[in-house]
Amino acid sequence: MFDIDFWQELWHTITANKKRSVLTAFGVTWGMVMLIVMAGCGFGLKKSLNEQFESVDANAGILFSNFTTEAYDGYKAGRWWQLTDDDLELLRSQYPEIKRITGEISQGGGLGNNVVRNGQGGAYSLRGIEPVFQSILSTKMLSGRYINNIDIDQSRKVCVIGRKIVNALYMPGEDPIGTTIQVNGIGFTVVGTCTDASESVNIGSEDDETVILPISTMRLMFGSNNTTLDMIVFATDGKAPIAPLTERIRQTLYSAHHISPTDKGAMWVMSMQDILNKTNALFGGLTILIWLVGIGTLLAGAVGVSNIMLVTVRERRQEIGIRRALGASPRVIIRQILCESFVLTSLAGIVGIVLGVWLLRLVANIITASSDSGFVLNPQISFGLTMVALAILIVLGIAAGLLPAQKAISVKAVEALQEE
Amino acid sequence: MLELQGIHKTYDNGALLHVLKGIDLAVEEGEFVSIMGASGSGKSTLLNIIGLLDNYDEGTYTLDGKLMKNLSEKEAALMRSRYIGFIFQSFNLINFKTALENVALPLYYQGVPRRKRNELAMEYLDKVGLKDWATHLPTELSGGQRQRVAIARALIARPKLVLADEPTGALDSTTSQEVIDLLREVNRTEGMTMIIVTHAPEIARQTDKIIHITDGLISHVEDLKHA
Repeated sequence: MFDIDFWQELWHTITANKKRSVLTAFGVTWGMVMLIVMAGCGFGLKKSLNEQFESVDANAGILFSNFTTEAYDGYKAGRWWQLTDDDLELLRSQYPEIKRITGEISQGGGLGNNVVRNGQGGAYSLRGIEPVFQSILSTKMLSGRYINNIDIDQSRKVCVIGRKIVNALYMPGEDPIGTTIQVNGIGFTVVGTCTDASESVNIGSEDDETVILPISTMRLMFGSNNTTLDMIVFATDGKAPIAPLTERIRQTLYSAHHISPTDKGAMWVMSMQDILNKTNALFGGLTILIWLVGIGTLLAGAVGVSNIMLVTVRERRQEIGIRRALGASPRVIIRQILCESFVLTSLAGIVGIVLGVWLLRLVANIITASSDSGFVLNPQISFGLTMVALAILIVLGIAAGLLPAQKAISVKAVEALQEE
Repeated sequence: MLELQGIHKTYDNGALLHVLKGIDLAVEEGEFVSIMGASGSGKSTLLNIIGLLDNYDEGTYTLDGKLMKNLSEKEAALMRSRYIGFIFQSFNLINFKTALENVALPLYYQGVPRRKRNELAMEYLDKVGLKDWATHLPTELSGGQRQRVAIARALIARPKLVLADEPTGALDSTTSQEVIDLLREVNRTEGMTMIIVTHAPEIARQTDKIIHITDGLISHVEDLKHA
């Protein structure tokens, strides 16, 4: 039943003291804006990251060597050891669950301008790889081709360069493919350009700022025929759980290099699954935090509403007394107070939702307009989340009215009427 | 209509205050009764007990043949809404509602539909001569007009019993007379039982019976009708 008088009265009491109602409602509105904006940013960040992770093979793993931390088999602690091609062969032969495996050598870009073209240059990382590397830690080609097996076999002087290197060394619109650049003073032909497949997940240097060379050519460049590797990357078939597998790999390599089986620090091994799990756990925590803070702020707003309602009930003692003398039952009075608090809270909350969503849009537009990294934090809030927020609001609104309603029915008609 | 036997009432506001000390009173249906007494004699308390706005400690109170004892708030509200109309010294109109809405309020609590409610309210406003003032707020009315609105409100639910607590206390003598004439007329035409508390002898003299209360007890009853 739609009861006009009921709603008229409700509206009257809310608008009777506009300034107070608006100020009270602002607390709830603000809480809602906070909740929506924070939840929206969190949700957008998570969504963006998930999109990034889609380009990463969850079955991929990487490992590299480090100083030993325990003395073992006649060696002192703190010994430096290196991965080699032999380790690669060892793992390849012993682990059928590893589908693809390859090694990488790299040189950091801190030593002056190691990459030069037409007098222009910069300091960039160098990475020597085999073609299979791309299929494990996917590199996204922008133009041309990746390093192939013939490049490796013939130790060709070819390279693939990252997007930022292209930007630094070439004029806009200029095609780098087929041109020659000087890497450590040696001329290399550019056969491809690339960028990072994932903005947030990088192993070693960023593809954007890396010169990728055939591993055989890179070994020749450094004038030795050694077989050391800086990093081994592998991908499993995805059937075996990755954690026990990485532990077994560790023990295999430890025994080959005379390292104590209990030495946790001598080798760094990580699977993409670990990274994904850690990131997911982090975001789970972040989401909980966001909702705690948001609901806390909303709760503070609701307490404000409750407080003002108590004052209102106190001011309306006489009116409530009259109503009771005229036959209003306690239930009617309770309903009136609860609805008042509910309407005030809901109106304020809905304004908050609208403002919050609008603010999210604004933030999204600003980020999109100024985004240069390609990593788009896309703040947005789903309809479902909005409904959850609304449900919380409704519960809070009614809860906020409980105490004032209790106060209202404790008003004795006879006492209220005697006050003037 | 109603009967009180040995009603006692004590207030406990820090110190115990024995206000009513054994009231025995019977009011017949259709009677127009006044209660007189000095302030503090307990006359308003008695009216509140009769009106089910307050409870009593000892004795029995029967209204229309039913015992009114230990009523819950809900039961009391229901009884008030069905049987009793109130008129107060300070009018006690709701200031943000128009005269019409004020008059219609008791029917609202009885669940009467809005249209029917407003029709009846207009009819009763007409009876008290305020039809043209229906859309005015109480603050726009004079004291006498406000009390007439309050009377219309007390009558609209056709209560069997109308209780008036110093209905003329805030009015000048001319307006007072108008109000008392109105009450008298309603009592005669509608046959409603009326109990008014007053300290004005010229008002009390116009009723059927004057009940004098002194210090929490009925000191004597003046029967004017049969005198």
